[in-house]
Amino acid sequence: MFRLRVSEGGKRFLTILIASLLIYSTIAYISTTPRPKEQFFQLYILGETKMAEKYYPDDNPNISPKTPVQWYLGVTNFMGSVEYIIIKAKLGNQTLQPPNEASVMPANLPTIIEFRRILLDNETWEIPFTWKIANVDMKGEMAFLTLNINNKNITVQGVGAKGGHNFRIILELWILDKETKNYVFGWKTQGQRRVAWLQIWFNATIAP
Amino acid sequence: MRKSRIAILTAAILSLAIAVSIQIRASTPESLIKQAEEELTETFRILGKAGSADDASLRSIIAQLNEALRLLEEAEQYTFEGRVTEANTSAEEALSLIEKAKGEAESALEASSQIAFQVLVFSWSMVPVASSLTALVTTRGYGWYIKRRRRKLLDMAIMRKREKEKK
Repeated sequence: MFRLRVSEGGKRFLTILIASLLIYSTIAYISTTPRPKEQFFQLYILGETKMAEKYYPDDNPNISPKTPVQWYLGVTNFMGSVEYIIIKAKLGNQTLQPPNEASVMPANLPTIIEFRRILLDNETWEIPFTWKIANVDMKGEMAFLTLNINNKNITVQGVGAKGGHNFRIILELWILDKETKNYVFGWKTQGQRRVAWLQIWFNATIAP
Repeated sequence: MRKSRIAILTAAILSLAIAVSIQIRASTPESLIKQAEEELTETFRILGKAGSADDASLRSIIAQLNEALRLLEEAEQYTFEGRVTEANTSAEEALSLIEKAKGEAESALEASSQIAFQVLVFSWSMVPVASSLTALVTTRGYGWYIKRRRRKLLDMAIMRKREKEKK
């Protein structure tokens, strides 16, 4: 019967070799495998001073027609990759439902304007959002608005408010899904869907 | 004979009409915008895979795509205003920018995949090399240490023996 004879030194060499193989394989695996990190977007809106204040002229949420309102929208990509984002601005009122975070559903409201951009990882994009009420159309007690956003006139049909009170501008963050090539509300991280949206309320002043 | 001639003529006129209508449809700003958007989506998908590409080339591609997005928005606005010529010009400009960016994105993807593969191969091929070196150095080092220790002990024993002999 064949019997393998290994010297003391040989045994030592083999033991260290196997241990080193295990250690270096672990190091190689860790260094070549991307570490999972929290993926998210940051969506924010600032007032005319580029701070979280002065969202209305003279801090008065009653906006009269032709009064310009200056906001700054910002979004930062912390997804760890290049992302194609869309910020959708929608006009709502008190009764129409805003986006639902639990069911990841966007607001069922007409999009009045949208901003598209491709962002690098860790990149922040800030967009001026200048708007005013171009016209208020009264139908009975209900006020319907024509808004002017960044020099574009948009007539919003189907969203009125009684006496012009409690309108809100809703901003939703959508992205282009790389796999399905569809635009989706929110993003997927660690198997879960997350959403980001903002809203600012205002009243439209109606001329007597 | 005459009937067949009429049939051939009708078929020729019909095909010409279809070709003209296809050409007109193809050059509408809406179709150009749609084509550009599809190309942009595809370029973005390629870019997503080339995430480890070098920063400068990634920035340059993204700048081109963002410019294309601006042009597409402009084209949509012109279309809405009924300014077809301007809309077509903007959409065509956007399309050519996207096509250029797509080419660069494909090159970046190829380069980044190659680099990623090289890093992977290098990392894993270093495992047996480093392990063998570690094992060799440690075994030899240990052997040398034992030898040195034995020699020291031997020297001490010899010294003790000599001291005894002197006494």
